[in-house]
Amino acid sequence: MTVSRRLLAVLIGAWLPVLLVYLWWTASAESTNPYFPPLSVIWTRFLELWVFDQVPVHVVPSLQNLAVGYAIAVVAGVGVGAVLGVSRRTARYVEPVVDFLRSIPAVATVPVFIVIFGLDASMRIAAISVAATWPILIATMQGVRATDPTLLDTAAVFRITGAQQLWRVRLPAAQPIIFSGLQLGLQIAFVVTIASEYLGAGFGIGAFTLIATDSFLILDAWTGVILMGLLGYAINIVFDIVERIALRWYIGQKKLA
Amino acid sequence: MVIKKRSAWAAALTVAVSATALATAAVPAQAATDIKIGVTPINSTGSVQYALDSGIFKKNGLNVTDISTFPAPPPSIAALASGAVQIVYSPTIPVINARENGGVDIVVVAPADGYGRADLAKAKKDAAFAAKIDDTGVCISPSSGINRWRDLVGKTVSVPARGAQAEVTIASAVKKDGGDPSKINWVTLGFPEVNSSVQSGKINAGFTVEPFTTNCTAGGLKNLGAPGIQFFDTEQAIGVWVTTAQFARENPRALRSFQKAMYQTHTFARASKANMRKVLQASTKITGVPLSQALAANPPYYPLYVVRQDVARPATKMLELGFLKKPADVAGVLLRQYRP
Repeated sequence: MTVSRRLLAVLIGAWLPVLLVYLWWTASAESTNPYFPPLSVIWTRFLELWVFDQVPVHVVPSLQNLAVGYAIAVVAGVGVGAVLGVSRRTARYVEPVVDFLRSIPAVATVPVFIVIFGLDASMRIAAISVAATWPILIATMQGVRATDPTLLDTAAVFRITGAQQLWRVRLPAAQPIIFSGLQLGLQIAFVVTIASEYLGAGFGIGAFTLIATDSFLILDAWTGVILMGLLGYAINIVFDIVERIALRWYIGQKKLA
Repeated sequence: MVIKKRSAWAAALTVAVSATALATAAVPAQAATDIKIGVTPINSTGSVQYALDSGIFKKNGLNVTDISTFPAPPPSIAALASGAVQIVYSPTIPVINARENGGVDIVVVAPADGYGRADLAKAKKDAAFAAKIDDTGVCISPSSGINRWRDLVGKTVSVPARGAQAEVTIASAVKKDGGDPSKINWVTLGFPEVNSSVQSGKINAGFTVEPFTTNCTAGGLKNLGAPGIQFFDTEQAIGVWVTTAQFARENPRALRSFQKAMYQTHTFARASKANMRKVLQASTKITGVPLSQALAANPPYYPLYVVRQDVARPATKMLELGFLKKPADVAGVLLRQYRP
């Protein structure tokens, strides 16, 4: 894609957010409702707090928990998912449990994690990693299972079997499906990061927003909400870039087809 | 000619409108006003449930259609601002926070709970008595090594909501005892989770309100003391019923009825132990705890009216503790109280 076409794509994608922000900005300009302050006032406060005064206090701990929790989920999800994808017999035993556990809304499990881990970062990391593991595990399992039989036959001819076959043939071939699970897992991990800070936390973006709400610092609470949205968006962009690099071969293949 | 015709129409219209206005204005005198009330599920808010069940609201021309519970005052005050409920329970401290920090225009209608003046004076000198009359407590483990307020410095202490009554009163007690409250690690936990979290060592101390204060000591844990008693001096109303300034302007008659109804309910509850038992029985509908537990708890104190000092004094102390950035404006916070 040329630079100008890429720029055009960005502009096309940006018109709705820009319009919404414009509508919010103008509609709220004269607002005297304390719960809905003017966006211009919220923005001024946002810059005071988050560029970059409070970032080390609240944003860094949240992102640390997210990174560690998500990393654990990726290793566990891809690892267990790959095993279940290869061995249908193991999958038959484990799948009902997996289906049961992944059906429980992640946010509802936070109190259980408090009972087990207490109120420090380990509780939040555990809740994040468990919640994010399921979509990654399922996507990996399905991706590994769906390997093109021709690929497997070819591998067999070259006597590539067992672990080597999984590592060099099945997992690479399953990458596009695994990445969709990784993306879903990342979104869930972000939600749980915030939700886990609503209980028993003194810092973090979720805790900041909750404390602001409790103390009727409504302006601060709005900046917390906007910060969550922007961070979630930024994390998604980073993921897209990583995915595009990792799946370059696949995207190229699709273009050829 | 045309002009004349128009004015004739206008005159007719004016008559019609005034007639309708008169008719509608006359209606509220007889028909009951519909009101929804929001409460925090604690024993003392059983008063409105009792007033509803016993017909005291109805007798005073109020039709209370719903009593909904909220975990803490901030969401209930938000519900108030949105018009989902018309009157909510709140301690005075969140009322001050909402007005000062949030610019939410709410006013105090009537007292909900508090301390008797003589009791408060006695309790300040006598910790055992304080534990008897105050419904707030700080639950700790007997083996925690926490023996006085300043021992909470550096510890993890749970409160139901940040920057609200629990945090302000505990911070005040710690400061008075020579400790630095800014070194306390505050966390948010609901009352039902406090005892198990103290037991398992997840937190070092947790703020409770009855019936959970009694629950704490009954379960083998210790109550460090009543932070409310430490904070308040001569205030009588600690919890109050609030509404928006706008609702107060538009519905003075309904609020007068509410004040009367609460005055009557409070007088009833104060008259005898048997009466208090009936009010506590009603409170179990709100808190969901068994009656035995509600009765085992310290009975609520029901003041008859709110005075300006009840709001002004906590506001001054909040300023001293740094919870407020500038002196609170308490003029106009209090509606004229009902005194028969």
